[in-house]
Amino acid sequence: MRRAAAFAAAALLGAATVCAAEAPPWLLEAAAAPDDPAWGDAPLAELLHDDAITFAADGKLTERERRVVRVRAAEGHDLAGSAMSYDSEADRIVSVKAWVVHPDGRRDEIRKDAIHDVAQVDAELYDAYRACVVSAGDLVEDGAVVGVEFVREGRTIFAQQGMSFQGSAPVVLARFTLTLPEGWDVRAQAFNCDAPIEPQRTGQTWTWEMRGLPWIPDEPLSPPRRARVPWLGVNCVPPPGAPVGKTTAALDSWSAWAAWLHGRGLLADVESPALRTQALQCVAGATTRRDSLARLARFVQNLRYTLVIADAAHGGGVTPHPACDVLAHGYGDCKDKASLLRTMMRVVGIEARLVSAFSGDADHIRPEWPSLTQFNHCIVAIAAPESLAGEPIVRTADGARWLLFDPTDPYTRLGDLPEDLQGSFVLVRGADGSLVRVPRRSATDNALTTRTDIVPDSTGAAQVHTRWLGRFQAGRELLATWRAESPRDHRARLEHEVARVAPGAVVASMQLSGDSTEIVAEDVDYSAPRWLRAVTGGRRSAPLVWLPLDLSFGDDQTPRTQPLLLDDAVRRDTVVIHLAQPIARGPLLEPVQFDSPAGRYTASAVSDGDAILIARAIELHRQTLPASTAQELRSFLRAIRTFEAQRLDLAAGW
Amino acid sequence: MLTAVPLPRRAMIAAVAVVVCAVAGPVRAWEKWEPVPAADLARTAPLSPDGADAEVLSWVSALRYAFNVRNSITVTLEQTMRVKVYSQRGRDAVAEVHLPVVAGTKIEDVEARVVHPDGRIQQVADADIFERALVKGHGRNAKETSFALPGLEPGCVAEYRWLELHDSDFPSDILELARDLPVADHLIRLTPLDTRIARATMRYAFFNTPVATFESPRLGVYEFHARDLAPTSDEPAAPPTLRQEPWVLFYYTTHTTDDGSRLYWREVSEVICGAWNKHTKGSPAIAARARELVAGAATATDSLAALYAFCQTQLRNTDNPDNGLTAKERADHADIDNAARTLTDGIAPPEGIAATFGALAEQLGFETRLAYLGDRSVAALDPDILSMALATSAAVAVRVGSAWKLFKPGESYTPFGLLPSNLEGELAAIALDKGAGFITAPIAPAEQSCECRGGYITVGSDGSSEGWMRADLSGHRGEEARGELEGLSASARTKWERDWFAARLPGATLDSLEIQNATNPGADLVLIARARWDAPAEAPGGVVHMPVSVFEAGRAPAFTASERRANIFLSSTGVVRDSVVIELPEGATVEAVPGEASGTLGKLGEWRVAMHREASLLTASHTHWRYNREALAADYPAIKAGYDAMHEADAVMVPVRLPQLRSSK
Repeated sequence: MRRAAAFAAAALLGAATVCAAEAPPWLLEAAAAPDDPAWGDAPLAELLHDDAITFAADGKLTERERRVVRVRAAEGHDLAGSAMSYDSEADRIVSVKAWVVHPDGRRDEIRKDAIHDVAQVDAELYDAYRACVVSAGDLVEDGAVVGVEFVREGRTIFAQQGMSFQGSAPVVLARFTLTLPEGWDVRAQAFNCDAPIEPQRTGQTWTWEMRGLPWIPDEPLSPPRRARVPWLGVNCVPPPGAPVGKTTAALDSWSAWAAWLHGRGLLADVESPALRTQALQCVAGATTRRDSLARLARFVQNLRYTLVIADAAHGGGVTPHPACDVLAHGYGDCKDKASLLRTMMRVVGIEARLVSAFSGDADHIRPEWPSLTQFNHCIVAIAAPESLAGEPIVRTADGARWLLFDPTDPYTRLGDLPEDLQGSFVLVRGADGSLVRVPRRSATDNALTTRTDIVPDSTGAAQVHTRWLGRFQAGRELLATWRAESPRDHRARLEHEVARVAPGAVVASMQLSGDSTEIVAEDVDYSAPRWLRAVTGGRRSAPLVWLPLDLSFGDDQTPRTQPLLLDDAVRRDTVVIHLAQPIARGPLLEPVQFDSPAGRYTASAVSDGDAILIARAIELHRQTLPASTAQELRSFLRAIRTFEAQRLDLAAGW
Repeated sequence: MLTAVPLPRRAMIAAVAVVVCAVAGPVRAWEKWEPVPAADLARTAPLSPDGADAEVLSWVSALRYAFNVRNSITVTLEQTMRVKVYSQRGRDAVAEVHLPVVAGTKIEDVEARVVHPDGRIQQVADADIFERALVKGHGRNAKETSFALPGLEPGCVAEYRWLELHDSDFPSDILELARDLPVADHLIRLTPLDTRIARATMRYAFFNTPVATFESPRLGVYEFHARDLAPTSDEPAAPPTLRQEPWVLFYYTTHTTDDGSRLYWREVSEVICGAWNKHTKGSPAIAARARELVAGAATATDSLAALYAFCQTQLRNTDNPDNGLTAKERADHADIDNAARTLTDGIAPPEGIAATFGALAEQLGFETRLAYLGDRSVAALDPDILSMALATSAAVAVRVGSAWKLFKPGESYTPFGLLPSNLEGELAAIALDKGAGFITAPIAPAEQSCECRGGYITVGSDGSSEGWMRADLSGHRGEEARGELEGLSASARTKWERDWFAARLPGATLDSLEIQNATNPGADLVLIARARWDAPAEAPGGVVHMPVSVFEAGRAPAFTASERRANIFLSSTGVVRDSVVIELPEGATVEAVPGEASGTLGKLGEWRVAMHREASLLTASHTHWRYNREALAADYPAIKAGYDAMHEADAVMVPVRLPQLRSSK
């Protein structure tokens, strides 16, 4: 993400220049690799990715990264540059050199005006992460080869490296070399590899190589790239008893990391009179322990999220700001909020721990590789006696019982967790902490249901009332959109949702209720002047659905090559059309049921005399499906679309 | 933020010989914060009649121009913002402040604080104000200063202020008056250069706000209050920012007499003419080439068309990624050269192609000039504003008979006879020998920019259907599509075309995709696909429904929100015309087909939808004319109703009874 942002910025930087120069042998050797028909339409091929890191016992490191790519199509021109990320507080880019080998054999060195230093702007208020970017888009043509070499020097306390052998481009040769101090060893764990990758060792240098990796095109709903490309997790292991300075080289288990992180977190466990007062004020009047928890949780949840990272190379990214400062500022990031909540709970006599997690992908954490680098988020574990019921509860290795809560998500209440954390591994910090798996609610628990009552009149207009009911994460979504959108924008979105079936529909009123963990309701009244549509012969037709399904499995036209990652989704919609004149009872349409590897869709339309009842349900299951199922899924979608595009043909004068 | 207007070098004529007789004093430190009135602290509802989650109660922009010791002018903008927060959403919208600045501009003296409803004040510490370079290196520096407002909650008032400074030899600045929140009061306090020292005088012009003038409460300082400003809009089809939101242009001129406008444009024109003459200088070789190119042309228009086609398609444009130029060739020809060299090399940037077109035309006896225009997507040119700040585009003006015609041969896909749609209807200043001649660029008739779509669909007895679909895009429609196809590989073009059809034929399976004339602006761009629709899962009574408008029926109406704040702004004129033939299977019956329906879209367009039946053939047609006009937000309800009516007519379904389907269901 950061890398992409850096490239996007670089694309705006304007034209760069070159001068004729000889290219280095490593580039020419890589450039000699022939094009491979298996690369298909890949706009770029990576001929060489050679990353060499030298790590010293005191945490100093030197990294030399070489990358050679061949541009194969127009879309590859802007990708032909390279970027090296660095932490400007701890690292410096020592040298950058880049060359182009043109298809006609000319060789140019890319001048310095193609090299820029770019802040990796993401969602933070401030951090020191930057990228040195070489832009080559203006300098290349199809068939050109670009080689870039970066050298970075820096210092870190983290003696672990995650090394991906691939981005998305096909790879001819990817090489990762690690040089360690005398007596040190490596412990490596490979992921997504068909066969073990054994390093070649020469003295204190270890080298891992992979060749001939296929293109991984970007396709919607694909699993994260980290789940598909081969990568290594490497620990630099000091000899027993060797001094490791301030580095984390000795940490080789989840429990060791849990203890180390716990220590960092304790640095922030600082209360102040104001904090104490605030904590006591929050729980004043609470009648139960759960009530106290909920009040404290909601208070911290309502603090604004603001991310400021300093001194990341020395653990600044995992060390919260002092809790009293976070309260005084009224803002903080995930670890700040978690830490504040932990301290406020301590003030009122409730034990809580910080928990490291990964937000964005429940399958991200690989338990086989104990490493801090796998986390990007921090939540809270609240000591949960057996008497405290509900979810999400985990037990650490020592048997302790914890209720998990994410104070960063402003909408998921105590008793639930954001969907992308459910089912994931998290690290409960503490001297006796451990990696545990978070329970996952069933799809049915998170169901979204709607009931729509439609009262048409003789002009074809209708008064419509829809009630949305969302449980747990579905309720969270209702709450989030209600809170995040202004009333004007919310109304506009609701009107847009039904515009296809009822052009000109106006939201007359909308109301949210049931702001609780378990269920949230939203009631919307519409006035739909064009709900019934003219059909030739004086007849009118009514749409089968009021809320069209916004269901997609990505691009339903282009052939699929990547697996599909589907999430749970359960939705049930009922439409009741209230009739002015009774009609015969019985089914108006044969009930349908469409099944696919993704899940099931059912629908029916019946008359009970005074009303037409149209019921629709869809249940999709969280799973990864092979690309070969894409055709089946498209047919499934097409069947749903075709079915829902039908209209009920109503007699004239109805 | 203050936007310094980049000026064409040619326009930076010696209008101001700045003699540094005085220098700017040191930038003053901030005075104490003004106390927040108790009423503002107690306020619980916004002043804005439209409601708001947060609003700017007061905003002071103090703009000061002063000579400096670097022999130029320092432009200082002091900004002070007081924002009231009414809700959690409002808090989240304003809680972080990011002040980006481009190279050459500095931000200094940032201060911020939060005043709670009980009067408690939280100051932002210096350590919590962060500055970082967004981009560094080789003259492309951009920075950002960021801070978060501490303890901000609904009910609080946030205040922050900062200085922006940049140097300029010839200042011309845009100050936007509105922002993303409603603004109750925006005070602009202006201190121009001392006219006793400067030989130039400051002028200003207000845009998109009722006629306004600065008052001068004290000598040398002028003030203006903009009040009750609505937040900036991001609604669909809203006018460009400078055409909709209120702003002020500040600039300096030496032409202060009543005759100033004429004198200014004469001076500008002289400079531009000189440059144009240099770049279009003729030679026997150019004359011979011109005669060769127009051989056989019967009229002046034919001759210009031949020259235009040559310049547009035979000279390789360095801006066009599809013409096979190497990176070196592009770099070697990045700058405008004289026409003789361009004709020899066959490569030029767009401006060089335009100059070559002018040179060739001159050699045939045409009088050519350079014209500067406003841009419909930016702002309009105004002859009363003695600045080139609003002249954001240029074209070649050629006198044909008694009229001037405008051409843009440097645009790779603008057909002969058209200007890019963003220049149509815009005022143009033609740089003549004795001054500027102003004309309005013509708006090409809608029929010249057609998205003409057709198809022949065969309905199977099971209710499935398939057929060949085709679209011919002419004029601006073809120009826009070619622009989107530019620089794409073959596979990416196919994907683009697939997406194009998929957006218009949702639910269809597409194959056999083909694009014709993707790079030839002299012919219509043609898109062809084969489309297939599955049989319906259910067809009660053996009836399937055929849409009256095959390409439009599955699309959402153009406007769906019931309320609107911004005017409705259509960027180009054109027509969408469909004619699709649907062949029904033997035995199919249609009770009746709808008659013709038509309507208007206010001043923005018209439409007509119809279906005809002849034996087993249904012919569905849809025509939608749209005009590059702007309608007032007040007219939105009527315009939306027009679009809804068109959508409803497009979506009418014709029930077709298929006997075989009936027996099988």
